[in-house]
Amino acid sequence: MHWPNFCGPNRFAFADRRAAVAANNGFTLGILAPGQTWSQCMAANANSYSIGGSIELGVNVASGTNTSYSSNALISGVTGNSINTFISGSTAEAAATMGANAPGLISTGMGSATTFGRRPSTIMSLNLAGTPGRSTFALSQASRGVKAVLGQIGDVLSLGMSFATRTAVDVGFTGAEAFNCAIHR
Amino acid sequence: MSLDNVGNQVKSGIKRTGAWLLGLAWLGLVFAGMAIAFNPSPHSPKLGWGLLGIAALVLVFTMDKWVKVLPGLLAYGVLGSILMLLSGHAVNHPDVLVSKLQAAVLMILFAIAAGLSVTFAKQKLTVPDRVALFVFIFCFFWQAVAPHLMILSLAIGFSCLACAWIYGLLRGRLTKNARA
Repeated sequence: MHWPNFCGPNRFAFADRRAAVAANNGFTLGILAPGQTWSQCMAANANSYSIGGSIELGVNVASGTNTSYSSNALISGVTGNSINTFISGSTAEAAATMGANAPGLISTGMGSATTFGRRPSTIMSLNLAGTPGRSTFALSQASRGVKAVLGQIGDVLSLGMSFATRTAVDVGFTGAEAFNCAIHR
Repeated sequence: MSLDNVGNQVKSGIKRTGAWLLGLAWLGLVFAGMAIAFNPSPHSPKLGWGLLGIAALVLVFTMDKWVKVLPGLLAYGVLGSILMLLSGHAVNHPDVLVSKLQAAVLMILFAIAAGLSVTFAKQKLTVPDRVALFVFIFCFFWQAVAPHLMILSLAIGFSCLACAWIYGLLRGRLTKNARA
């Protein structure tokens, strides 16, 4: 009986054959083409990993049509994946996103109690250790006016949970794309 | 954290996820309807029109729900427009070129629409509000089917939204004056 020599010079040939068998099953998680870099893969598959692109792909497969409504500028603006564009795009684009989210984040932190040893009346407990009295606040409560303005700007720019959820969907798509682009076809 | 809180959070999360999945299914319905009604396909165009009709009914009857997420979606459109402005092409479509002027106009329109729709999300919708929101969504998808009418459909859609907002503002002032 002949046993394959896994440690000899033929071990790579065996691995290649095993990879070929796996590929013949028709299922693979990898989408990275031979000779393609990870960034190129991310850019090439960006549309398939967006809300609009993935839904349209599914519709085209199911209905036997060949449309590209998701490439429309207006529709792609809302249903396209802006997050994976940051990954394979420029840092200037990333800065633009953070600019939109920053007022909400800063406003959340302002006036929050960040104390050690002292406790303000805003912390409710019957049995708290520490010296009673005024405590220090993040960026102080004197900045209430600024906080209100930032809150309004944040409301307009962040627009609550729907914007956050919409972003989270794209983050999920981008994670899946990044994972799949790390594996060869 | 109490078990009640955890339970409520789980319920809220499931509800939100379900709502978003239904929204995605609705988008699929619209894309399928547009694809079958306006493009060569193995199916009858009547099927496409039927799907679009169902999508329109769902849009009308669930307006009170989706109007709350509309500002966030339009704000995401502002982000997409900024990307278009910087990259010079549609989001995720390097083959579809978008001029700086087009991207800037889209960014302004999305920003104005997001600002206006915040008002709709906070108040009880009136009939003019509902008509304006329906026409806005209709025009949003119509310009994808007929790109040569993009400017016209954008003008109609955004004007309707602005008119409904101004009407609501004036009505609010008139009611206030009448009470005074």
